[in-house]
Amino acid sequence: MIPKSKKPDKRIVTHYDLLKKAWLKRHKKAKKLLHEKHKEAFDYIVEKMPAKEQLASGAAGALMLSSVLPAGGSVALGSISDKQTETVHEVQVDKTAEFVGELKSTTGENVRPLSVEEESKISAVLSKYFKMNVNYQINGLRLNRTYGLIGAEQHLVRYPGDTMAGHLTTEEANNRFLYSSGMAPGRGAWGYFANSKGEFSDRDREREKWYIAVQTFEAPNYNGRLSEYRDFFKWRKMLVVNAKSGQAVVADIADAGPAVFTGKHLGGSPEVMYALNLHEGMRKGAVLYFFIDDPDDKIPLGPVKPT
Amino acid sequence: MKKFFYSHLVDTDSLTSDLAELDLTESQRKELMEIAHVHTHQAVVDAILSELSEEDKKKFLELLSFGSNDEIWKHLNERVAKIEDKIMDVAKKVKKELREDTAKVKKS
Repeated sequence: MIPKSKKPDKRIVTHYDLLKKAWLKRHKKAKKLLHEKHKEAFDYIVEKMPAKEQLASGAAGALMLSSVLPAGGSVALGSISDKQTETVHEVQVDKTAEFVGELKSTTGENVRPLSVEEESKISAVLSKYFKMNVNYQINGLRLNRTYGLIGAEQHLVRYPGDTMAGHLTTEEANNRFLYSSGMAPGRGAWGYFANSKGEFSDRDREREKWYIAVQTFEAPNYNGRLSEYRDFFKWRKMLVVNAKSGQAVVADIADAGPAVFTGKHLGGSPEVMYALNLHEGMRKGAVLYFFIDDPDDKIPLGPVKPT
Repeated sequence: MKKFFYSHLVDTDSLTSDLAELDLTESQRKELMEIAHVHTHQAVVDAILSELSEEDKKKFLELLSFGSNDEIWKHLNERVAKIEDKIMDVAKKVKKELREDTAKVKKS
């Protein structure tokens, strides 16, 4: 039987698409200039209040969020190295297909807030396939949602003086996406990962490499439980799963964002986006993101596969 | 939308009217208005910071994060002449640009 040829996926460009693109372009340019012109003052306020999430809901916070726009500017990355197919992030066809099928039966195709019943069901599915304790909440603390759109973030400064020149290994630097993502102008929600290059450890390296930014400031009753939430979110491990492909990463929370109006719900480091295979095109996609209960810190950060 | 200390000086009604003439859902309209507000806020803060010394900039950002509107106005009025006019001017300029974008999209 001769398969029918598929029609190309022609997406209709709407007024909304055009205007949002035009306005965000203006906004991005102005934001860059603003931070360049008043760098000393912005560095000061971040230094004074390194927990960026505390600023996020305020008038200065609107200026500080690092993830207002997709990182890196250009999204034309069609010529990324073929090396991607050589990495460990290949889709595992057998288990992954089964896993994705189970997910889809609950989540459906479209990104949306999940009900508590659905979140409980998915927690169980994730725990089963990844052999770890995964949950949408821990001790009643949770995020505003668990199924959302992730967008690409930039690398974070890990210690004073950290630059792109020394941020990546030689192999990583040869990956065009990882290198071109660049470094965010500010620091993460918890400040530097280490106070100096001398104190910088492998653990710090992994924390930055596999970080995500989540909308901590949108958590239920956030202002009423501020200190409790701050301790809870800091470096909290989360399982982030590409809802379409099943590719997954154990990540840690190291930044607050993105701003709500971006339409995105969380951001991933370049390495996280690459591991989830969401680094091409618009550099965003639908993911499930659930907490990992790992009180003894035994689960390593990085890509994981359903087994 | 979040209210800022200068919100009474900035009129976005014409932007709202412009968006009403486009083919947008309610959530799309809200999202675009939020972008417009954040963009305007950024331009206003830039205009204010450009009038202040380095030390006064830092104090202003502190007040913007944690201070009351009265404290912010006191800080600005003691340092910048006709600051309200400057805020209104920059907000108008930004609004004009955003309206031009909207008009182009409408024609497309």
